[in-house]
Amino acid sequence: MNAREKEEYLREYEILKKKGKSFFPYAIMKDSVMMLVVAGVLIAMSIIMGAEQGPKADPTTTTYVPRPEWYFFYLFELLRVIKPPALVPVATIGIPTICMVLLLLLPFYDRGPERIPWKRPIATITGIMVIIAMALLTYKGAVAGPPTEIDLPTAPQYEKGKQIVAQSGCLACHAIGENGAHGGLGPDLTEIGSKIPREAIKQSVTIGPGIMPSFKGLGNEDLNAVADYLASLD
Amino acid sequence: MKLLPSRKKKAEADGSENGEVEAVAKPTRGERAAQAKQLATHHGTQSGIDVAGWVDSRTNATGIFTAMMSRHVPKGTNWFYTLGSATMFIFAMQAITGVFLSMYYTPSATQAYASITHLTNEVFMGEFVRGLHKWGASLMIILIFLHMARTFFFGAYKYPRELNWVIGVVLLILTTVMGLTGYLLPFDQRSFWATIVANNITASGPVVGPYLADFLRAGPDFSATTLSRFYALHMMVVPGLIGALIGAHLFFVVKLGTTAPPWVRAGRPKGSRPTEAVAAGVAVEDLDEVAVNGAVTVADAEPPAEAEVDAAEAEEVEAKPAEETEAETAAPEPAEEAAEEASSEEDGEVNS
Amino acid sequence: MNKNSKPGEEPRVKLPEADPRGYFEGESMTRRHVFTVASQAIGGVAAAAVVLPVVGFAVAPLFERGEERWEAVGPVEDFTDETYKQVVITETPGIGEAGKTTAYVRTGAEKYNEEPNDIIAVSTRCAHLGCPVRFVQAAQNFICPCHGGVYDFEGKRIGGPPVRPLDRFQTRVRGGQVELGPRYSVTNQLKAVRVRDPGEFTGGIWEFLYPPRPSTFPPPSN
Repeated sequence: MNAREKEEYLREYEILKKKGKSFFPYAIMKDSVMMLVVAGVLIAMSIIMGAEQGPKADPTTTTYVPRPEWYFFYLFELLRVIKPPALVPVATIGIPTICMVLLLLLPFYDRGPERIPWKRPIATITGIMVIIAMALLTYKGAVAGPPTEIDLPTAPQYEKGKQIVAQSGCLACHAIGENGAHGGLGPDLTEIGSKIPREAIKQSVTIGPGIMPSFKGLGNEDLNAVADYLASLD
Repeated sequence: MKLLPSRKKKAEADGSENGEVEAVAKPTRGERAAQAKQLATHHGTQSGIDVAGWVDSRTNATGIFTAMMSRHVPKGTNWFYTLGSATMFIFAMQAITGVFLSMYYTPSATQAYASITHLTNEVFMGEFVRGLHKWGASLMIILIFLHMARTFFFGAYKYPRELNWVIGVVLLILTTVMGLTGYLLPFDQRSFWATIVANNITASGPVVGPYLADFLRAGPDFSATTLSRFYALHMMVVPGLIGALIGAHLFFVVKLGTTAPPWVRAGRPKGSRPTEAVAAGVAVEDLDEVAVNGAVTVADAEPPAEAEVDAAEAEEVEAKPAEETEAETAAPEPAEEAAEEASSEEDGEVNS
Repeated sequence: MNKNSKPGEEPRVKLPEADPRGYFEGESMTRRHVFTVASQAIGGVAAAAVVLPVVGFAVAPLFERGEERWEAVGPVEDFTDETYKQVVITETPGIGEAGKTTAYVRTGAEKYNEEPNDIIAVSTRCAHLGCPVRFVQAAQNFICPCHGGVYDFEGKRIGGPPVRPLDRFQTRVRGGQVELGPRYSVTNQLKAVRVRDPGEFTGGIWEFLYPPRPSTFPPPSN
């Protein structure tokens, strides 16, 4: 905004203000109604949902699955989807800091005089994209199960193999159905059975080709169960 | 005390009067304030129990209050503009419930959980009050985001309200800090591990991160004083900062006014030439703008702009030759009024 | 301020007009300068006199190192080189349950070039962001339930976002009892370095980017 645009804005604003109503009681009426609504919602929430106490803090646990409060789900999901260790500081410190600085300095780089949302498409679209991204991350964070569960239904004879796959950390790199690392280090295993024969699957799990570690430690019986289960996925 | 309601009514009446710009023969605001003060002093000497008048004659509180309350919100102000006050309301609720929760809470790693159990299950309405605080936190985050979205999409962070946006973002950050520090206090599994993760996120910042994490935890690991440190942050430091910044936020809202929805156009107020009326108002309200508005600056810096303005003004004059004389006689009145209004507002702020 | 002007009397000495920059009558530039600097300095000293001790009070724990603790977790015979045994030790005394942590303990295995007499104690805190990892017997690896980190039998990262192998505890054997001492971190080659928080890399330039904290114990010599 240059000096003339600033002056024009102030001039326009002064007229709008003259044409408007006084804060008390007209604007404050709306404020009060809104406050009443908020108070009502708050009271309803605390009556209906109460305040349940979780189990006591236990630093010695090895079975608890920590999850944050819902308003940090987007950050939680961000940390979950950024897999390469080299990028961890970027996810923990880098992205949040950059976002906050960009937000803080918004009025200093967006200095155009236009205020109508549909006449400044870049700002509006960026804003909507940010909201969508945060909503999506929050949703994905909310539904993320622990990486030791597979929701995909399977026939009872493969149930044992499925349990071993789930408990062995395969989902840290691979995806099976809705679970696991989509776009992670390893290929998606959801339809692996239709792509590779059973013997090749067992071979891969046993020796661990490329960056994949060997799962020889499972023992022959469990390896067979795993191979049977994975071969059944198609 | 009995004076207050009638004064409120008076303020209300003033407000509606100000709405009609063409109202001519009425006392200016300064005169009215003087009258009110006289009246108050008079009553005070007669009855001897007029506390409001006594206080007012020393603080001018009513003047400030009236100026705040009878200030105009621009045309088109709608429900979206209630989100800010709703956020402030929920902060007040959090402060109140928080103070009362602290009456039962023990910030110690060994007793915190038990004190929450006691508070929730045995204290009268304990679960309800804790519920208010717990869900109030969620509502506050939602409302602050909605308020920010409104500000963003309406372009309300632009000139002259840049500073208020910055304060608002700092308030958003402080609110999430409140969420994070408040999280640990119930000392259940979720709070403990969330705090561990949050602390390690802090620690992963190169160079200063490890020391910052040590500072938050009061040591290299979760220790006896970690909980009391978070408690102090949650109870004193951050709420104090939030309260102060809300004060600054509101100061700017009153000083600069709330925005109108950007699609609302001004048009012309009846019976006055807006340029003069506004120029007077602007000159007093914003001293920086005087230099900018000054013909010298404009002429020197931007000759084409000046030409444009001149052309526009010439057009205006040409378009209404008949109104010319009328405008000239009528114009000084509103201009004066605007100046007086602005200066009385200025007075209120200076006194505060 | 102006001693020369009494009411109803012309000032005897004509002082120069007040300086347009805001100086008072009779005031010299140096005088104002001295007062400006002095008032700021005095106020600063008064504030610092209170603020500095309080800040020191708050940051003191950064420079304090607790006592070195060794805790017995059972006789040597209880541990094998084939799998881990879970033990609970107290890391921070005085805060009950909240000061405890779990470690996985085994003896040295030849296939990892370890001495049979070595005792290896692996921390359960994920090296990504500190969630509790679990040792999965079937797969012989550690899994973190938060963001999906996976470590092999030795505690080296094999999947997910962790930035380094799992931390370890110093160990020793006293009177047939295995004892666990302070925690230390390791590089990707399992070389011991000073303990650090999860989320921080070890080795190379990272030893400088995540500098050692005075509140931690030095690592065991390799």
